[in-house]
Amino acid sequence: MNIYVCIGSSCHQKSSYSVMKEIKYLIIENGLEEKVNLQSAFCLGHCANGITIKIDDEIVTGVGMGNIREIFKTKVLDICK
Amino acid sequence: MIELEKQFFETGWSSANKHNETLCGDYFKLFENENRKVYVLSDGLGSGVKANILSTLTATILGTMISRNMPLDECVDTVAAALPVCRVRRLAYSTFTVLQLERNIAYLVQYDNPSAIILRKGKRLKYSTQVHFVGEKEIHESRIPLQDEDVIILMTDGVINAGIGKLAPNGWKYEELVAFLERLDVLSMSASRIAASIVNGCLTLSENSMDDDTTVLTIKVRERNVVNILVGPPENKEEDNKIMKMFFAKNGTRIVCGGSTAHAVSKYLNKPLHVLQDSGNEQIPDMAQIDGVDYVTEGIITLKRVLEICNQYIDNPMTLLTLCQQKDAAALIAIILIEKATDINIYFGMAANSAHEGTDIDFQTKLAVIKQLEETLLSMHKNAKISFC
Repeated sequence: MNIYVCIGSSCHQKSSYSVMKEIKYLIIENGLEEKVNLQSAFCLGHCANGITIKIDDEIVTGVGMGNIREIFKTKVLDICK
Repeated sequence: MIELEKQFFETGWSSANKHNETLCGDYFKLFENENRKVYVLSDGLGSGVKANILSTLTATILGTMISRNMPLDECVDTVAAALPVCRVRRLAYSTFTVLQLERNIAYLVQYDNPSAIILRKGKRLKYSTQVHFVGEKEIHESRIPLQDEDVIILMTDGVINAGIGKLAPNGWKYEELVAFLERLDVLSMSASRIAASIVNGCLTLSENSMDDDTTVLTIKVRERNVVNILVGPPENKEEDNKIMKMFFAKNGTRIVCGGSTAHAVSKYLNKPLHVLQDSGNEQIPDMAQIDGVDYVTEGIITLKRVLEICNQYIDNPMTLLTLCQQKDAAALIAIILIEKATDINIYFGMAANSAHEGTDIDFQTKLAVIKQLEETLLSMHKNAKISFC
């Protein structure tokens, strides 16, 4: 599974850097290093909708420190298990 | 020899004020027209406001007159008559070094500053001077044919007096300074780095507290290095290919700033865009890589920081010495602009970035940053130009 975190101007300003760090942490916490590949990506084109990440081909917008654990659980953890 | 149209006189400088002084008593100014450059470095008597006024007047009067071909004696007389007399010392005094560069000839006029040092292939070049008097002033004149990579170093006496009574009981002797310079790898250093290294040496000898204003001005003869920066997609979508074609036809280093622009370039070149993982930090986003482009960065955040670094450099060129410790896109681009670039062409796309609709990134800010960057680069004595597309 590939996860891309947008680091375009808008997302970076909304601190996608922290989201990236958090996902990195969640991957390690759940021992998914072998299954999940995390990368930063240039603008994914959804600037107006909050921080954007892409999980395989699915775009998820409005990501933040408040909901990243929840998103990770439903879209990554539950699927990888 | 580099062909004349490809030749560039790179300017670098660094200064350290006498401790507790906010104003520098040394002053330099560059007078430039199509055919020649005239630099004047002056050290005013005393320190603080008084010295600053004296040196500013001296450099401005001399530079204005000499760059307009007035006879030298008349220029020097005019300065002598114009300087206000110091009430304490009953003197009107200010040193000066004039360096005129025309084609490949350096014309030096020196009065009471330490002799300008010329380094050729990293070694000191001894040059002859003619002495003549204007009133009571002993003026040294020299004409030196220059070669590629020559470095000319002008300085005020703060340099050779550095460290007196501290780490260098007799100051930084001229011969020792020359030996220091001959040990530096000046051929691979920019003019600004050479100047900063000398002033850094002075500060070290003086235990970071100068007893006199200290200024170094360096000029390096080098080949032009063009840097082309593409920021933002063009206003009309149809122009995309035309602009790209023009951008990629240019010689020189290519920098692409901005996510949308990078995607457009990747599409135009038909080469994938790879983000360089972990090349950024909390402040500055990661860089990316596209075959055929030298540097690919995010847009506004990176550029804002580039501008900030460049302005810090103008305020105090010695910041250059610690800049390489910052490893992100902004520091990298700033170093290229400060040390490598002689001519900077910025292609600014006027498209309202649809990706930014509804966000707090606005076009006006981006435009303002680019315009300020152009001004900053011009005040570094580089050629800079924005083309709107």
